[in-house]
Amino acid sequence: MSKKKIWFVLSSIFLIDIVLFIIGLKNSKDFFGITLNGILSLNLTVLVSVFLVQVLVSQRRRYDFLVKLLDNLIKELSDKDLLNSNNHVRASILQKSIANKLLYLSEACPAKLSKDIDYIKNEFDNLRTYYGDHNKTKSDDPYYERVKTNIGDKIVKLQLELHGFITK
Amino acid sequence: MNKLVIASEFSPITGGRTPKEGDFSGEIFRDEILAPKYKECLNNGERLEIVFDNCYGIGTSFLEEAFGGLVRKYQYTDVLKHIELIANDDETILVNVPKYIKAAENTLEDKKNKLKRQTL
Repeated sequence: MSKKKIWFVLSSIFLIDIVLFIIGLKNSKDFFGITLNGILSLNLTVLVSVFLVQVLVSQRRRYDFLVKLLDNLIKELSDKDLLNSNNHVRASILQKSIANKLLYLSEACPAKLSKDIDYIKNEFDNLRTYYGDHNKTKSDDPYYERVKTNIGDKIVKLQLELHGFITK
Repeated sequence: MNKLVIASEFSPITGGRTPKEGDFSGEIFRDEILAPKYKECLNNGERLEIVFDNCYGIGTSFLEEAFGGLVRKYQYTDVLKHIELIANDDETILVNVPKYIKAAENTLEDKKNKLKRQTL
């Protein structure tokens, strides 16, 4: 829904509320006569609603941030120098950065995603070890491709879970 | 406490597991730098502080060969009690190195137990 439409709907509701308020004020003597119970339950309802909305918004923001971090990881994983032994310094820096991000991700992600993140961490560790043990291997080695694809797929799964498309 | 700074005392650009994979391998680091320094610390009753910072990135095979190999080749036990790891640039080192040392110590322990059983 466009911003204009949202504003139109909200303004309409607000106007209807004002009209109803004026009608209620004119027609009912007890318009302001509300019991203590009524006030308390109204306040409680408002407070609970605000709290729940805040919790959901805050969770959504955290999830959005994690999805961005995962996007960044996919970009770094597809860097041509990640496993390029001819550019060992850049490869080492990239590998270090991805390993750090995966560690932080495992600390920040909700517990329900920890299994998939552990899988990604393990696969990436295997990739780094293979790179160190087969330094002369070309970066388009099928093993690299296989592991990078596995990691990429799992990252997509995590993103879908964070967006609520996959529920366990 | 004795200190070992890998970037300045060995190299800021580390290699793979063995010299076959390139310069500054984990094996060379272990045999020429880490093991002598570790032995010296053990003899003096000191702990060895190992600083991994200012390197361009240390591979997992380098770390496994250096620290797992320290246990495998030199038969050291309780290594973690005698070293302190400083790794601000790559925090995975703080997770991986203890993991490699423990795995190597467990394998060593299993081998010793197997030998004992065979001699009995």
